[in-house]
Amino acid sequence: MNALKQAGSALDPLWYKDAIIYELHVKAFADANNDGIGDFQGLLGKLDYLQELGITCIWLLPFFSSPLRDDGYDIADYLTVHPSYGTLEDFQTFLHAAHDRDLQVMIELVVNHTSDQHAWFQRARLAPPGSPERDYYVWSDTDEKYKDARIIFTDTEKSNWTWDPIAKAYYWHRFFSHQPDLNYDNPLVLEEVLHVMRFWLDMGVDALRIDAIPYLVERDGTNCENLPETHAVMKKIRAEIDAHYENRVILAEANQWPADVRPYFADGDECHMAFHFPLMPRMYMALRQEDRLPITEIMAQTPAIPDNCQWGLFLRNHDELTLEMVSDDERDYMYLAYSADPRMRINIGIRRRLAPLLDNNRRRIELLNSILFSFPGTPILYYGDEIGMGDNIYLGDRNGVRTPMQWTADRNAGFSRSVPAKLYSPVVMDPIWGYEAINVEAQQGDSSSLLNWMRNLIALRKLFRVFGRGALKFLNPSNRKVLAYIREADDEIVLCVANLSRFAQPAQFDLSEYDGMVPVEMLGYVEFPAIGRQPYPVTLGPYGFLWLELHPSPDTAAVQSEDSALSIADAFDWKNLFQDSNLRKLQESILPTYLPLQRWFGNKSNPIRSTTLSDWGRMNSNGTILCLVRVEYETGNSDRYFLPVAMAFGDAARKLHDTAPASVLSTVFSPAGEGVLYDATYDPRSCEALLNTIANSTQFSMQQGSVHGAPSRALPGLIPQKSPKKSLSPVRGSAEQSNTSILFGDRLIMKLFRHPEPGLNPDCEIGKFLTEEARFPNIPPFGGLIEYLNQNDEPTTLCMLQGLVANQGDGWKWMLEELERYYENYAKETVPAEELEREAAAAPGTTRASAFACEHAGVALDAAAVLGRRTAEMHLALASSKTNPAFSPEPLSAAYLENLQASINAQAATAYDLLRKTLSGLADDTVEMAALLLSHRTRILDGLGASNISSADGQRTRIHGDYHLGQVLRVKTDFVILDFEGEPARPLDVRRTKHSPLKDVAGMLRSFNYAAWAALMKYSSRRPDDQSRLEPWAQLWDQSASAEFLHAYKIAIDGSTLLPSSLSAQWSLLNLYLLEKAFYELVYELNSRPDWVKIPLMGVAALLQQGFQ
Amino acid sequence: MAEMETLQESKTESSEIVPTDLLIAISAPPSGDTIVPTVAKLEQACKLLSTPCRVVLALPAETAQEIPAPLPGMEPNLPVARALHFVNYPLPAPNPGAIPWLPNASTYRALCQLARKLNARACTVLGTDLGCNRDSLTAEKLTLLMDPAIEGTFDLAMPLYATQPLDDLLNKSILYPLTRTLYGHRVENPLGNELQISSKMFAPLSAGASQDSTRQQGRLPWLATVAANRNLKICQVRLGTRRPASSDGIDLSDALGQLAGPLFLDMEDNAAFWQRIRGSHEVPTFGAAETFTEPSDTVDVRRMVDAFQLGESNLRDIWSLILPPVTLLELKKLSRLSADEFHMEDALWARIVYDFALAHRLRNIHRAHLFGALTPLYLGWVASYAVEINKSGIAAQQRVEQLARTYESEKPYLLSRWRWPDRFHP
Repeated sequence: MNALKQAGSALDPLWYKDAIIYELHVKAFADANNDGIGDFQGLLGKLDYLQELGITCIWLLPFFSSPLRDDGYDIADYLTVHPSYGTLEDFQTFLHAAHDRDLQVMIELVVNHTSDQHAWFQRARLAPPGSPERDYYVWSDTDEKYKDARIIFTDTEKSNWTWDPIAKAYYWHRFFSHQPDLNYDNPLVLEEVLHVMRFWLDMGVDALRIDAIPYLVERDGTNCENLPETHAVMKKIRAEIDAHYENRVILAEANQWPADVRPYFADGDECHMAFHFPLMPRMYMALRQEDRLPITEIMAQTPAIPDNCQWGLFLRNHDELTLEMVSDDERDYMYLAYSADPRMRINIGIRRRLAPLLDNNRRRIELLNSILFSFPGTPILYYGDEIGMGDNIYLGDRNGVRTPMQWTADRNAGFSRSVPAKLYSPVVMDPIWGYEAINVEAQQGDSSSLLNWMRNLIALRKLFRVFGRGALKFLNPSNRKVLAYIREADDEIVLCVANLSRFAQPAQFDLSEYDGMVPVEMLGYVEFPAIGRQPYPVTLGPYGFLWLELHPSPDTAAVQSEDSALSIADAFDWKNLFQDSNLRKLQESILPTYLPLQRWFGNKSNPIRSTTLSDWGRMNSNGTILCLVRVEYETGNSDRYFLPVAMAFGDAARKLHDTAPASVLSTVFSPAGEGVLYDATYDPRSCEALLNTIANSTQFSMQQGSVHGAPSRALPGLIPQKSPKKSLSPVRGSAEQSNTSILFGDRLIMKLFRHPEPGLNPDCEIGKFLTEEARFPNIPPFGGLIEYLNQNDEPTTLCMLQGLVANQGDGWKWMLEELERYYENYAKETVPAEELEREAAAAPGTTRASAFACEHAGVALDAAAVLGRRTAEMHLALASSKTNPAFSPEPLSAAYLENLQASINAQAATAYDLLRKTLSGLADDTVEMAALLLSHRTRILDGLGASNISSADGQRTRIHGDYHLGQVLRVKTDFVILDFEGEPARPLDVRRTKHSPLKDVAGMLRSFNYAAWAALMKYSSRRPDDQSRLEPWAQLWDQSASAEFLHAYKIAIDGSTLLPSSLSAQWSLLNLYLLEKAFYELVYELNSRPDWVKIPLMGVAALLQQGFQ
Repeated sequence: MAEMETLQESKTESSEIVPTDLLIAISAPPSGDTIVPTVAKLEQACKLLSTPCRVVLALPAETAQEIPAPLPGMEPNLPVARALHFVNYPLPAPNPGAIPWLPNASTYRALCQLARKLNARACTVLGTDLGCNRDSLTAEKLTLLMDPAIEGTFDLAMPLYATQPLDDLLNKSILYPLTRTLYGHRVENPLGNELQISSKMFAPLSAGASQDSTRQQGRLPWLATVAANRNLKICQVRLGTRRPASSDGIDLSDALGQLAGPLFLDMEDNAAFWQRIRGSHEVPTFGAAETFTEPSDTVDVRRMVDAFQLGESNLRDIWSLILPPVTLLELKKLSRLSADEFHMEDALWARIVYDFALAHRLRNIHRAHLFGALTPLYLGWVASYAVEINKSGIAAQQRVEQLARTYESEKPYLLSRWRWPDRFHP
């Protein structure tokens, strides 16, 4: 049916949301035939002016045939133009000319009432009572009906009923007595109204302002306003428009509270727009009181409206500044503030124009316009207000604000060349407001004029759809003289700030949700300081206002503006992928963006200065490319990363976008299609190719060096003999950290070292040693490796293959589950005080957990003991070689101990500095403990210095190096130890350094402590009331698990010379390692997880209490 | 013989049309001796397409009748009729006074309407001289210009030509850097007329027909802008070397008006869009880069500097209506320099262009006079560019990139001037 609808001049159905409406009276705008009355020909000649002003819609006050007793709102014939204004043809010419300039036209549909001169009324008063003709109007034999309806024109009307001597009955009128109300209970009336409406819409009119809409229908016992029957009428009118016309609009004039106006929008199927009457007086009130409250309060009372609806906002119009929608006190204040002379008042309002109301203060005029143009709604300008025209309070009714438009300083203000006496109204002539001082011509020539300011503001508003369509959110700075709000729609965010005071004002806003964004002042495109987490300060001059567009942070913007698509000739054009502009894009844009987003990228906090593709090569078996990327940081440091990549096109590319968007480095274009360059570990064929490289000892060349695979002696035993391809199907591991894992069936796991360094990776080195030499059974068997060779460096391990061990999860997860049950079981019980004292008093390794502890946490404590034993066995295995210099034990030298001491001191100093910096951001329950630790800083650091062990027997040997519960797998009732890579952030030589095995022991003890408190944090997040009762249980568990672990460890390692022989030396050394680890954790948590800071803080505090008090 | 259909817009019923994959359109009447080699080259290019498809060749009305059957000079077994089908279309009359080689918005409108009637997936528009003078434009390169939109990968493929450093300077100094800065796509020939558009572009390019013809006058089809506005995908295809079209008899001011004028108009229409764009990005570019082997032409810098100096003394009053005092001061200083030392900063030139765009919008002076006032300034920049290219040996492409980056870095100046065009400007 769309094809049958008549199109409007606007293409966008929601054009009215972005419109700037200009209200004018034809009689007042321009007189072309010099009869003293404005006309359509005159208006036609001023369309260029309106277009240049930037308005988009002209709202014409009634121009129909009328006796003009209410300035045209008393219509005698809806289908003709008042002869003073021209002819119907003149109107059509004007309409087409407006449309040619992309201007829409809105006219009045005054259908609550007609003039008493209308033919319908003349016919009705003569028609017999009860006849359809008579019933075009509302008649009564008494003036007592509808007594609850208020009188609107209180200055002139005493009743809403007037006796008609011809009809011999009273007729109903809500306005002047010469304006009888139409009777919508008569279906013929609505038919007539629809006929009138179609007449104008067929001609091309874009919008209809429906006058006095709340009063269409009357019912006894009501106030005769906003009745359901009125809404039914409006819905029929709207349905008629929707059925036959496109992109037309109804604007409702309903001078009501917002909640009462809301039903006129219905479900978006009644009126498109409605005036927001109560906002207007409150803008003046807020300005005069220098307080935003009147505005924010009325907006708080304004309900949401359907998406296809819009408020019409205005500062002034052709009527009085209505004070119907304010309280009595507010009305009194407004009269006192804005109408010192009683002549300024009429009905329930103030009959003055904008500029006189604001004492002709340019800054106030600009301020109110800035609010009008940035509030949610469509702004409506009243003619002449764009040049600050004055009024004439000595003219009757509201004629003082309807004087001729002031075009020039010539006779009659350039409005007409008739003799002045013929003018429909005298022009304003006083020295301040007169046309000689205020006129369009003068302001056009003055670039600083209000007219030019308005033109610029209108143009600016039109650039931003957010003003017409965005949501509104008020900010609440403590200074109430400042009105501030955010407008937001799609990707446009604008912060508007207005100073309602005549003096400069400061304000601070909570803009933390826009952290990192950069406000740009919209008028001058001036960049302001970026928004942070702290309150954002702004200072405004008297009546100053700011519109600030919030731009994404420069970092984000830079990323967005960088080139990120590669272009190649076809899907096999690998060579071109790493050449010329593609290489430049990869190195300058794609990799610097992609790498920091990867979980395995280690140096996230360090800004990247550059990335270089240091070497790349295509694996023989398929299209997988192995890349080595060198990353240089702003600090001057650099890293190297290993990145296998592949390309996919068509459906495969789309699937990657959908299922693994993180894998995509960039888009790749070829004329024949779009694809992606992506991380090849997401490609099963690439994973198989890596496995085959190891299994088949394959070697292939890179641009600079070469890559080769090497299987271990154990690998053949790890690969199933039967259908190996099927049972080794690859799946990318989900738990990615500093490396990436690929699982091959349930048999093998390959670890890709993302941050490979020249030299043998300790994970491979130790795995190979423990598998092939020491034959330690509690690790995954080593299966082989892939190494990168080039002549300048030692071989670099890229991948390691291991046997996959069936398990019940890692030790961390397993212990947390145990602890969950533990807390669940004992949340309501209390730990006997002596239990804690007993555990705390015991020297490590000398006692076992109490019977009470075993009774309550037996399974976990048994596991801790098993883990202690396996740890000792691992240490013995690592120290088992006398011939392999990489593994043979060495004495625990004084130099080593000195270095250890220095390292702990440095770590402690770093932790203290960071703690001091971040103290204010810590949680309440942490900050006290942190402050206590800080207050003892000097004493503690001195204590650390004094606690050094200058010498000890015992030995240093290779250890795990990064030992905690996450590095062991629970396998039935036993544990398998994983990941001998050491701390990946440290250099290889550091990771291969020999230490006392107590370093691993300390790592695991800290992990028990972490597990106990992390599980409690998780538990009490659901049940905060149990927190304090469970803290002793956490302490008991930690102490008991540590005791069991240490006890088992010591029994298993007994007889070796690895540990210092004296208990006190063991204790001192273990304590030092514990402190080192706890300070390390503190730094980590302060940087990464402030919510977890409490755990290492407690650990440090407890250790210091034990060791240094 | 070649299959021939005459497609009259009003009579064509969509139900009668065989679905077409690609419409290839010749956008200007070819001469009798070029049409045959042109068709032959297209025939070869069609065979190289990634996927076989039905191709219709649209020729301006009357031209198609000139194609003899069988085509002379073709191999007898060349399956012309199978690969190409012919239609003709009414070529809109050129705008009176328009530079002949400028693309015509109404031509694109006609072609897009035709493509919609044919239900084509894409339309490749070509110039007329493929058969002669364009040996470097091989069938393989033409294929690159036929593939992108058929496969749905791109919605607009624009041409990229290798040019001599001193050729195509209006584009290099204004059109390219300005469109790139405004709309964020680095399309180096925003007015190239050998290109491909996808069906997504047909509707917006057809739409102008219903608008008032006076408002369409002097408009140019800024296809990359249309695509950017709709977030459509753009690529470039390297089509080899190209010598500039003849400028004999074309007044420079007139050329500036006909090229920059429509761009300035376009800026007004799309202000809300381009003011959101920050930075720019390359568009995927296909095909191998080529360079000219013969030496570049030389230009008489002295004459251009003289023209600039004359402009500075004669047009100062007019410039002062357009340019702020600080720019006028810079120009005054420049006017004292000899041809050898003449150097106009890129930032100065970019701001001048921005100020002229603003003056065009605000109608500070009559638009016809505006481009007359811009001409000596343009000559000043060209002189400066030529001196620099000759002296430093910097690659022209690098130099143009440098200018474009300056346009981008000066964009806040444009925004601030555009948003608040106060004459009281530094």
